[in-house]
Amino acid sequence: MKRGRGLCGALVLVGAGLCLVTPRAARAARDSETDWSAWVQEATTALQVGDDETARLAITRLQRLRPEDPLPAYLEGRQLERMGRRGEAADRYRAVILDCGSSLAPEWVELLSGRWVRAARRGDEDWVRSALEQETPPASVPGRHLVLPFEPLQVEEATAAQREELVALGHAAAYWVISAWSADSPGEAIGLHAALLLRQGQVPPEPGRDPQSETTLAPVTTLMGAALRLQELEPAGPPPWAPDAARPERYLEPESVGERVTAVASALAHFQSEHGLAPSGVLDAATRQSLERAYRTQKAKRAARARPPATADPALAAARLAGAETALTGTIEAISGGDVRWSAAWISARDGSLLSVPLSGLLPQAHFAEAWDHLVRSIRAAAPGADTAAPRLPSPTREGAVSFGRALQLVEPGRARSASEMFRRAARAGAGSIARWLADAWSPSEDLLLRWEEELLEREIHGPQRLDPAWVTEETRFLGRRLVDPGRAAASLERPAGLAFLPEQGWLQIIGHVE
Amino acid sequence: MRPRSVCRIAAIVLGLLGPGAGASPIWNEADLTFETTRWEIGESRAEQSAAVLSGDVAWDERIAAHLELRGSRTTGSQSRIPPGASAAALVGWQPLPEWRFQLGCATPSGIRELDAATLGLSRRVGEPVLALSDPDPARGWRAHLSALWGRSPRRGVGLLLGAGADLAASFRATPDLNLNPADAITAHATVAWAVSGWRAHARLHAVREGADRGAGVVIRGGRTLYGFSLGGGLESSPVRLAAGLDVSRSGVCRVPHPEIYGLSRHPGPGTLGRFVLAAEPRVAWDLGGGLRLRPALDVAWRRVLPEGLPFADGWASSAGVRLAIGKDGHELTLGGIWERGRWRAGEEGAGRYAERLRGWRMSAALRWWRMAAPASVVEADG
Repeated sequence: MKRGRGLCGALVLVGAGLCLVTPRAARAARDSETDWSAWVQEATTALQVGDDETARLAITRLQRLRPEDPLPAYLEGRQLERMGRRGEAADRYRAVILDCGSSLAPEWVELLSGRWVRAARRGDEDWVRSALEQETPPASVPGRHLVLPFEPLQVEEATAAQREELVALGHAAAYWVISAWSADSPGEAIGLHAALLLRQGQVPPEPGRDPQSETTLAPVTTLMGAALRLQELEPAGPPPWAPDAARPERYLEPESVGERVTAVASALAHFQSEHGLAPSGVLDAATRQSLERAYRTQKAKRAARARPPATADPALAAARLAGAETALTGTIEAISGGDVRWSAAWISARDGSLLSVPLSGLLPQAHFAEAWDHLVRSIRAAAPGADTAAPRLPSPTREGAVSFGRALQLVEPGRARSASEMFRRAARAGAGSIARWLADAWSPSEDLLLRWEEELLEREIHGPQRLDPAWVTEETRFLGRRLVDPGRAAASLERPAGLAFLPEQGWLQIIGHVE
Repeated sequence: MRPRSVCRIAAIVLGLLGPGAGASPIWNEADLTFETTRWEIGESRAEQSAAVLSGDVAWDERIAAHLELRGSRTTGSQSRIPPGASAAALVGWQPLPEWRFQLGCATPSGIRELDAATLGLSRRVGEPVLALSDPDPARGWRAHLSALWGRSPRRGVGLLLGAGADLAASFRATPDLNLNPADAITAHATVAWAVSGWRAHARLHAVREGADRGAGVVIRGGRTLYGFSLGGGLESSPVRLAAGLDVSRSGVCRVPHPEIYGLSRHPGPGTLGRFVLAAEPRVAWDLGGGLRLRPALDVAWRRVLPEGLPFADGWASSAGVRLAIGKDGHELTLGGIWERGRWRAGEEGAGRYAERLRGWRMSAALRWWRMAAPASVVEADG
């Protein structure tokens, strides 16, 4: 009896403790959730309006709240990108993927990979742009190497297809040699994209960036900023409330700016209706984002900027511009039987003199993978100052290497979607996991990445994506169709009542069985 | 739980909603629709006029209701079903964004104690080929319970799963017979998309119907129906398009003694296909005073392959125009549809006959809805 009473007392105490502790713990968790959402909102808004100080503060808070979460590092990367420090942004994205590894949700991996390859590419372009703008070449950096694609030797008998295949193999070989410098080995090899830009002495225009207009244009959060953007953008059709009117040239006529708030509200509602937003006329966060994106896309189409090509010997000029100590010159040619011969040598970027014994070898059809491995390792070992062996890299089949090289060529002019498909083909042909990863990273378009980003941020701020109320209404009406829409139920062979089976003749006589 | 009990609960819920929710109701939409349909079926005819007054009301973001008054009058060549009317209410409760529960109830139509002629007419106007708006004029108390779960895995995509039960109370179908129509359980899965002006959905559903009983005796066994529907719409600057394709398939239905219904075997499975297309060109004529006139075109096609179900094997196609006159949340729509078709009824061999179908339907609808006008406040919301 006493033991029972004690047990009851213990249960009461535990229960009371739970009652006290659980709400407090729940409240703390809820507060933390609220804080998290609020700071994500704060950081997102600050990034949109270009308030770097507030964005940095918000990101720091987020890092403190959840040190393991990829979101703060991602936002940091986005801020660095916005500030033009794209190379550092790429390093952030890379660090998140490598640090978090398999614990990252698939949607984060997709977003971060897509951002990483693009930021790295633009970071290379920034770096090359600044190198091209310098009046005098920088001093050479010890251990920095420039590797350009192996040049195909012109053989008269070779067909166009064979020449294309050799070019692709030359690109793939250069990529593999560059990859042979791992993060912990001494020295560095300049990335292939930067190397190619340096050789051609030209950098493509920056997509979606017009610094002059960005500095002078009012921010999109203000009425004037929104109005000026609406004045630049062309609508697809007339406003939804005047469907028979002629399509205006712009969402907002220039003379309307600053005159009538209602004119801007109508123009905003028109813009919203054509961009999948509720036509409220209110400049909310979603509208700001959509408006800014549409404006940037339009400006990017108009922008075109290019530098004239360098006039010096392209390979050596590129190496000097990059501050490289050495450059690799390589050739590749087709020989009888479908085999390929390669030759390569390390030369001084200063005067073009040979720094190592020229190397050569065969890439036979039969043992392509082993020969490819030999190519990479021997070139890496012959590099001046090389005191470590090349890391183990995947050895592709010939078809895989050719497809990989073609994909690299497609990436150069910015044909990301085609490049992604070619990387996927290379992966299927045995080019290894790097080809698969690059295929995934280049697959989404910029717009798609922005949409994923919006979805992820929206989810962080407001919880899971909300359903469209129209869908819910339609489906609940479908479920209740026997009650309020009997015609619709009959249209799918359903009969709410059982009259269909009462016989027309002799209907008073029911013969059946009781179940 | 019987339908009358559910209706009592629904009435109490509706009665308590206003004061209980602490908010006054907001009417979002009200419609008054009147439709007259006339079919000439061979030498005979069937005519139905139906009027529906409905409204959508919400108390807050979580509680909303659809209320409806429905009445119809059906006339045949030789007989006439007296006018009847019923009221229905569907109350939806959405406690969480992903969940919505629905409770509904409908009163009897008041049409009861049919004789042989009116019972035959009632059966005829229920033919799916005719697609009348009130295919079952005689009915008793009915109730509905359902739950819907939905999730949006990414923007513009929705996955919705639902299940519901429809309960029907018995009513005196003939002077000597209490007919207890079957209860039914419905389950469905829908995937919906909405991307830059395009909307589309694909839905799979299954309905398990119980047995129809007359005076406690099973007069039609249970059956299962499967359906698949695809629908889509486009909102573009030159035209607004809406299209739908439905395919329903019924399972075999066990009837205790098929021969007494003139059937040689257990009926089913049957199939119904339906295609509808509505096109609204973005042109409008200004009538002055802010009134606008907009035309629209409707096309539909139906095919029923009953395979032994007691429906007619036939098809019908229809085409019509609609004219909408309206301004600022008010609209009057007038429509006219011409229909053609053909059906065969009866069993193979003796007694099978084919009839030509010709018909028209005229409709008038008055609609009011609450407009979300563009706001005049155009400042950042932070």
